Amino acid sequence: MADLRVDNLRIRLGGNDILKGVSLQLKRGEITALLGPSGSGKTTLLRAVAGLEQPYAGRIEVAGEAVFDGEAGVNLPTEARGLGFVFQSYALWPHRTVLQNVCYSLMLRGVAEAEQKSASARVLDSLGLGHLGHRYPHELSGGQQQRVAIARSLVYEPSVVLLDEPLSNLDAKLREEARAFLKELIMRENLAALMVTHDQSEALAIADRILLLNGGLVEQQGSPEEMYNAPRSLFVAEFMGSNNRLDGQITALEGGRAEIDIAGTRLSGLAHGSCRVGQAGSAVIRLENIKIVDRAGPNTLTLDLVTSMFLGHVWEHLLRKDGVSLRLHHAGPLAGGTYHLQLPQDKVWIF
Amino acid sequence: MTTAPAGFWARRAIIAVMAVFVLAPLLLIAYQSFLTAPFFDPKAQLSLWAYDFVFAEADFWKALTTTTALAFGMTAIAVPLGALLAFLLTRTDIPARHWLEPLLLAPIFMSPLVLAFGYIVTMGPVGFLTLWWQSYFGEAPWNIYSFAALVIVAGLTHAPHVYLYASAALRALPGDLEEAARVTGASPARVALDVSLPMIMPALLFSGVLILFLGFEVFGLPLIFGDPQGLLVLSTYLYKLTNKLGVPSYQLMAVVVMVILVIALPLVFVQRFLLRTAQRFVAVRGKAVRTNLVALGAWRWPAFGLIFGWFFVTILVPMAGLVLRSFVSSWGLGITLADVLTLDNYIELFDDAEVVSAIVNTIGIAVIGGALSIACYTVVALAQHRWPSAWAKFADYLIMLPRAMPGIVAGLAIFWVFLFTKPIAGLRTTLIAVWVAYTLVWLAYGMRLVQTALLQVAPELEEAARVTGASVVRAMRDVTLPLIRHGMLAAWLLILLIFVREYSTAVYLLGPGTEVIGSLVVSRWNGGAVDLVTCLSCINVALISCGLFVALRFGVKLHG
Repeated sequence: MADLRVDNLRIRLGGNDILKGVSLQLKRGEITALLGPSGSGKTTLLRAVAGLEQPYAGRIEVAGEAVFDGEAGVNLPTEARGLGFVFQSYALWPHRTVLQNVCYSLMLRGVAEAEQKSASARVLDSLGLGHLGHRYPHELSGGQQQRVAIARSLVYEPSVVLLDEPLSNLDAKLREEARAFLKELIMRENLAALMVTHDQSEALAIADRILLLNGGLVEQQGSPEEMYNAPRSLFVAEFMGSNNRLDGQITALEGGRAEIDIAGTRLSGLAHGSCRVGQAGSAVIRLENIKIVDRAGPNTLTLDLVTSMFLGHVWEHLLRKDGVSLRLHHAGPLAGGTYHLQLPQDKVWIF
Repeated sequence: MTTAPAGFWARRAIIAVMAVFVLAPLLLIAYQSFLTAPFFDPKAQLSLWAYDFVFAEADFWKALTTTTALAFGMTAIAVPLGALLAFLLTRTDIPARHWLEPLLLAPIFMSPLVLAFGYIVTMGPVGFLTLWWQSYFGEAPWNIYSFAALVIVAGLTHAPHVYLYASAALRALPGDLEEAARVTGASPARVALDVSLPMIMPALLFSGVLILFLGFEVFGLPLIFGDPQGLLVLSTYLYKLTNKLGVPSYQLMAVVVMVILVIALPLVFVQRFLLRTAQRFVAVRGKAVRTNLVALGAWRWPAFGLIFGWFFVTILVPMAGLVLRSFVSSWGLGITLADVLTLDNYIELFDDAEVVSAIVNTIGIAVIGGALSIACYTVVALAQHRWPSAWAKFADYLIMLPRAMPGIVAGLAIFWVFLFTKPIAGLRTTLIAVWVAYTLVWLAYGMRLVQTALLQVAPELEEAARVTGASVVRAMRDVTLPLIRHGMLAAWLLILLIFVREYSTAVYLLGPGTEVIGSLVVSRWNGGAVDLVTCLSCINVALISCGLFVALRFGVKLHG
């Protein structure tokens, strides 16, 4: 049974349709990432689950019970939904100490004071914050604040925890550590986690499932591998990973394969979606899938090196000729000149 | 099962109560204006008679013309002067910038009535300065009892309002905008005219409308300056109308109030609209620390002289005269100052029971009443807080309505409401009536103070409490209120200052038990008790100074 279930949720804010019918399911021990460009409605969806935004239709179920049902007129207030929520800004109450921040939810639930303290201390300890209970939020580092926010949302043992870009306020180094920490914690506590992010690499790393939103609708959902390796639309292909996109005209279509004409060169690849012979189309290939080969052959483009950038673990090169340009990742630097670039047929997606 | 969110009914109930509180006086005035006699008169009938009567009065039209001329005249003086002062203080290396600013803001917290008294005893026909001038140079070149003097003094004393908004806009202006103009080759003067001025135009436009609006409701200055020569503005015309027909001519007063409301209401809503656009203009950009000030060079001291000159004429001259007058037993032509210096005025003051109770009442209504008012404003603000509903919007407009009532009008309206509503009629002669009137008049101002504090609480702090299980009311109690404590303290101190300063609102409510310093000096001035009035005015200024000192110690910003 799903611990969180959203069916056909619709939200309109200020006359704009923000969510146009979104559904998802979430089980314990699973992290689902809500991914999408800004304005796609991912944060609105998260807030609607928590009861902080008002949908006009659809249904939200937590642990099998409806907390919102547009048809039946069910709409539990936020405080009655019993969810955990980690805010992007952490939203730690500045007038309360760390311990008071964490204890608050237990106090509201009428837990005896001694028990409040011990339960809070236990959660703080498990997050490595045991010694900071008496401090005020402003006396903590960003990483510590994030952990307090997590502790505060977990102390009353919600089955579902919602995270709104929990890593975005941390600096790059800390973010990678926090990412691993968060994933481990959610597994260990056996939570169902729904997490908003705009960073596709973060989603790929942390999530068991990714839901890519576009303009208020689910564009595609699936495991990180599916999303990355088998995009079903140009939008998904372009959103995930670093890509080259070449626009041209589709010249042939047969058995799941398509051929596209890019400025006089024919490329063949996997056909996707609604491409039709004679129509304009796009070929997409990831930067890491382009190979430098010795001589021209099928599915190769011959381009001149324009510039190179050293990224640390890899080099990125920009090549261009006659208005066609490609970026590619390569293990080493390249000398100036002309190169033959092979685009493997099964790595080219044609839309 | 649907559960109504906690506070569902509470919010509606609070706004409904406020609506009654705001609308009752206005509706009563409107109703009264269409009657042939006071509302308590059983013979009163619905008719337009009162309108016909007032509109046939030459005095009414004269008062309306004078008011309009005064409002535009003082705007024409205050806006350029205030803008210039703001530019000099925020943008140039004028000497002593840091202690000039508090001095500039002082008139905002001074009662215009007190300043008016000060001008009369200093520059009136037998004022200190006038007589001193005559003894050296002959006839003094000024006549304080003239329309020109009224316009000039009103303009000078209102310049700080313009300064407030213009300087805030100038400070919010990011320095790089001006630096960009300098880099492309503009001189400092060109930058000021081509970049800074257009950027603060919305703020100036707003303050212009504000001054115009204040011009239509000034009461103290024209009452003191205009009265001896029969120069009336709408508010003083209203005041004089009290006994026009020998019997209480409420219907005529109501008509005059309606006229004032018809002029003031649009101005209030224009202000609201302009303030929003002005803030949008400012808020788009982040704050930039200003490092470069325009070097005035040889103009430094003349510019300083200008500001000091304004301060000298607007504050120093009337205040010095006022203080001096309160320490002399009598004053006039041929009297030597040294012979008449005395403390008796202050000593005698405390023999007058009415005066003593006025001082006690003033302090009480400011300290306790102010706190209660802020409590009320906070309740209403919380009821509206982050509540996206038609009710909250409706409340937003309601709050603006009392702003259109000059203090004297609001005082009159509350007086009538207490007279009209039998169950609370007994409260009319208590301080509660005065407090209600004060709370109503300053509703918009006080609400803004509280709302500003509320807006500084990040919404997710409250949402975090909600998701962890707190109801709306609980989240307000545990998160919102503790976080706006300082803002509420500041709001209380500011309201306290304003309640001490207030004079016109309590004029109609003046009676045994309801006397406050402001309304008492108005009535005693009419009786010619100059000694007493100057003493009370000095005490009033001293109280305000104490409050101001405390407020500044608490780090209260004098402007939002």
